[in-house]
Amino acid sequence: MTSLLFIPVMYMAAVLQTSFATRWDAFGVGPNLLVLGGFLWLTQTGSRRGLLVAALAGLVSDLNSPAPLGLGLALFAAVAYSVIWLRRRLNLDGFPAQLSVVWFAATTITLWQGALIKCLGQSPAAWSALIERSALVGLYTMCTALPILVFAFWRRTPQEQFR
Amino acid sequence: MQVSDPLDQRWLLISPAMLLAATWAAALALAFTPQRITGSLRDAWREALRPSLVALSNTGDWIGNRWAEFRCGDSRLPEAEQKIAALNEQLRTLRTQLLLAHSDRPPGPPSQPHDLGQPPPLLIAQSISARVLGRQAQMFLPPRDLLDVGRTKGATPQALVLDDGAISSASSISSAITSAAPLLDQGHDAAVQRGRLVLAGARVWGKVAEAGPHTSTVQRVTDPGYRDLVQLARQQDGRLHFAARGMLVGRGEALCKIEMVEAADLVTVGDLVFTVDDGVLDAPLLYGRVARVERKPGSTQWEIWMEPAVEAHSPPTQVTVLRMELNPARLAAADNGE
Repeated sequence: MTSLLFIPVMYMAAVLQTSFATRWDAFGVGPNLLVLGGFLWLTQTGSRRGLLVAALAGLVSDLNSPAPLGLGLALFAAVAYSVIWLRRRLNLDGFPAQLSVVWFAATTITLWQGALIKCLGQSPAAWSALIERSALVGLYTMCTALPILVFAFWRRTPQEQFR
Repeated sequence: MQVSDPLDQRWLLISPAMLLAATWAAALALAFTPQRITGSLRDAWREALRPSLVALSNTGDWIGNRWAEFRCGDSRLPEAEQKIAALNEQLRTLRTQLLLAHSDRPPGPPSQPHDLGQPPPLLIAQSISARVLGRQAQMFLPPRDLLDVGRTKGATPQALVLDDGAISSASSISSAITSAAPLLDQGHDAAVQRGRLVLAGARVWGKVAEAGPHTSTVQRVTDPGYRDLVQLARQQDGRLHFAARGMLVGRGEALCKIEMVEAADLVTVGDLVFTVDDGVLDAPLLYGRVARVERKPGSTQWEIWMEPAVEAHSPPTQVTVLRMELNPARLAAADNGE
């Protein structure tokens, strides 16, 4: 996959995040499409460029939200680094592993983002609500990733030709 | 792992730790970039998103209309749905008015004071219609920032804010919290002021939290920090009996709490909650309905939870902001007297 394709993908993710994610909300939360785009890219491409791509997704997330600029960039990069670190020790090429990566990234990033914003005194949300919200965002993002991953794995599997 | 792509081979020379350090350095630099620059960056990003958002919105509308046509063979369904919503609102208002007409509260200020030989009232209520802006609409407005200083630190309205990180310790807080608050398309230009009641029909939705030049934010009844004096009314034998008064408190939950109601007062689930008569409005406005009542052993006060009349899952799209102003008829009468 060429890295340049990442730009329109992130742009579309940002547009959908702004317009549709709020309409699809369940229990007050929506999927994080930027995490989905960034980390699916990271899991699908074997290269270290994935870290930079995930960090760029974080920058887009920063520009899309009223949170302090740089917060998303740092968090996405840190979580992408931990995924690369895990990849050296575990096999993350399987379907459940890639789905878990999306869940882990969405939950961790939402939790840390919320915690840091709370520590900066910009949000009065309770810690319990923060944890609950992060878990739901993680779950929702993972569910959104499901059809994309199914399609990606189906494409990867060699198709048997009709004789 | 064998890497065939020469670009990937070059990437292998950079360790992930180095990449992480570089991105963290960039993030730190961004965090300390002046608000002026980051604001322009965000504006440019919004401008870049705008064409796609407009196209997506138009496509969504087109699909919605086609779906409506497919469902009932008529594209006027959204219009009919709006009409039904307006009629339901009217029905709710009439029901409340009917209840109030059969209540034991003293009549409000006379609507035709001249006929009774009384002077016109000093204050009159005016209503300002406003639309509630959606998230997409909010994206097209320039963002407003909040400062973490107030009157206690010497800040006054119209005071200049210097954009100098070295002088100002007031960190600019991007409107993270206010963005969650509903935004109205009327502000100071329509004489909207802070603290004014925001109504959905005859039901109270909240108060104006902050009024800007052209927009204002709403603090909903359920939002934390919302407080107002209320009176409870019990329905009995087809009549409405006003009895207890209390303090309505929003707690960021679905139900609001009503405090300071003495245990000696009669309160039951289903009692209606209204604004307290202030001598200006003809009739009190509906806040909601008592959903839960408890009394702890030994306590002298009730613990009351109220379900707001404006449901959280169906926020209004059109509201009215109440404004009090001096009655010109009264002022004219005073001038003539002189």
